[in-house]
Amino acid sequence: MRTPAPLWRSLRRSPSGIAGVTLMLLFVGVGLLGPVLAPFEVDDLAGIPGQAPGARFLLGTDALGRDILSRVLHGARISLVVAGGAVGLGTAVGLLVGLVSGYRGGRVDLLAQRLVDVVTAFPPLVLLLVAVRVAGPSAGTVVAVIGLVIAPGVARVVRGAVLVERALPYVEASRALGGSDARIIFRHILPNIVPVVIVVATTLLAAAMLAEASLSFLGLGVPPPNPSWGADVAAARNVFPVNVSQALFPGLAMALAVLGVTLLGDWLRDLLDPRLRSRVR
Amino acid sequence: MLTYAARRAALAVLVVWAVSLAVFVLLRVLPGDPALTGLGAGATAEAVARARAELGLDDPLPLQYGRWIADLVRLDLGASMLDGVSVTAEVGRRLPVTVELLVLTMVWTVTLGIPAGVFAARRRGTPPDGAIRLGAVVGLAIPSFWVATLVLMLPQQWWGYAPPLDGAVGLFEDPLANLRQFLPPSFVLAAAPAATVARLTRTTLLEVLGADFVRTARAKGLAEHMVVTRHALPNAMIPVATLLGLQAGALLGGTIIAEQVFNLGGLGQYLLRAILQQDVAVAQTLVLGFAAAAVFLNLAVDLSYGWLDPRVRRP
Repeated sequence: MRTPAPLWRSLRRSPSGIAGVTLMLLFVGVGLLGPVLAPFEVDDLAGIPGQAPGARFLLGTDALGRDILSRVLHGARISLVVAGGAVGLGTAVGLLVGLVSGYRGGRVDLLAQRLVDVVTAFPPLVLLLVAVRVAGPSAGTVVAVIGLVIAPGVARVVRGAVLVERALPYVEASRALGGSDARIIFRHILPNIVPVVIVVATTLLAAAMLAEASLSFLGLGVPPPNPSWGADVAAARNVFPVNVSQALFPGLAMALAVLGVTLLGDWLRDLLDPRLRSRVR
Repeated sequence: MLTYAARRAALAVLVVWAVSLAVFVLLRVLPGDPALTGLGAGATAEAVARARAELGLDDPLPLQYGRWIADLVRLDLGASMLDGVSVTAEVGRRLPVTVELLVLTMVWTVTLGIPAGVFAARRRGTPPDGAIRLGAVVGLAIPSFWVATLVLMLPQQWWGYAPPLDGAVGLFEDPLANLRQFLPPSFVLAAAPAATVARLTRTTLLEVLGADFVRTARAKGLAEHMVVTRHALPNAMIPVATLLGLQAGALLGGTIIAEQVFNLGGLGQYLLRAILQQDVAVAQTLVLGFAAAAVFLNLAVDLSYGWLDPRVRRP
């Protein structure tokens, strides 16, 4: 891994990288501190329903008279925790499967790859809907289900990277010195594929956030009273007369957060993937 | 090439079979009794027992699985446990909606994504390139359910206009009304895949434009547009074709959201209802259908390589 100095230098040269890091810090900050920053409680029926944005309710109130700004601020935490947890789980599982599958090859590899084929055969949202329905909607199952749905993607990329590394002389050298398989995998190969894993995990973070919100939108996400941006947009659909603020702001928050993660991922890929860097800038 | 195609097709069939097993097992562990689906919670124990026997739910699982597959092969998709309507009839009615939505979305994806990517690559580093790249990242970031919701809400807010939301009109009954219903959702759905396609087109085209054969083409005095369209683009399109196949597969999931928001009454909405209301018979068949469609779409793309890339055609 590189030292922090080039990291900082590269960031200063990349406006989209700066935008990504800023949005990401904002998202994580609100995710951690949202409930403290929010002027109202999530379910506080503080005002007249359907108020336009104003001094007391900066983004207006929803159909029940709750402060939309407070709902948006609280919602960041669900998005952050669920997507972060899912990516953590999915990366861990995918990394393990990919490492073993790529390093071992043979029957283990064949079995793992066919398993990956079956999971990736489903359109992701379809599999998510069925799995959450089967496991019962709760924060834990949504994390687990999204994590397991994204794991094959990680496994596939990791396996490819391991196949490349495995053929390199340093692996042979370690084996000649009597290094065990576990030592070769975790001490030698793993550090070399970390950049690839970071890039994939960042891309998947954006996908996981959208997945969580889509599930909530369709009514199979983290159940209420937890405020989810997706569920709040869905709730706004059934409001008459039309209350645009109620749909606009939770979705806008979501879009900005995903934009931040995507920009961050692009910058990290440029930074960490030397193969890409030497080709197209 | 032919053996390659046969091997790929065999693998696809194998994957679909494994998917059918997975779907079957998944939906058997669904909490609650599917026999209650049609009866409601207040059903007597006797009625539940009768329904279970009628639906064959007391038979051993392998027998239930075998019966499901045997029925599928004969195109008998059974009946909904909710309303008893034949699934075959319902699928026949709803399939055109989903197919039209998918086709229109892919048309948008290709006609917006590829030209944008080509344009950006040819003007690398200029403000238009920057604008397209930014637009693509934004297209990736905006959740489709949100844009779809706003597309319905804003005209209502501004002009009091609400598009018809009572199911789709057939394309051949009233083409104009049909397109008015399908263009907005397909456009919304296309945002993310078009952005992905634009990004990949730009990257691969830039890569190809740096290749030796492109330098040769320029050196022999070809006009730049000929260099791009005849020499560079066909080579750059190969990874894009793979991506399009993957995107089409993933879009099968996206149709659920678009159909739900715009109430088009397609297969996605049918699937969502079946999953939410525990209509196991419908859910298992539709989930398998969606997955099989995705698998065969990707197979078709893989096989189209032979046509796109003559290098693959050689044994």
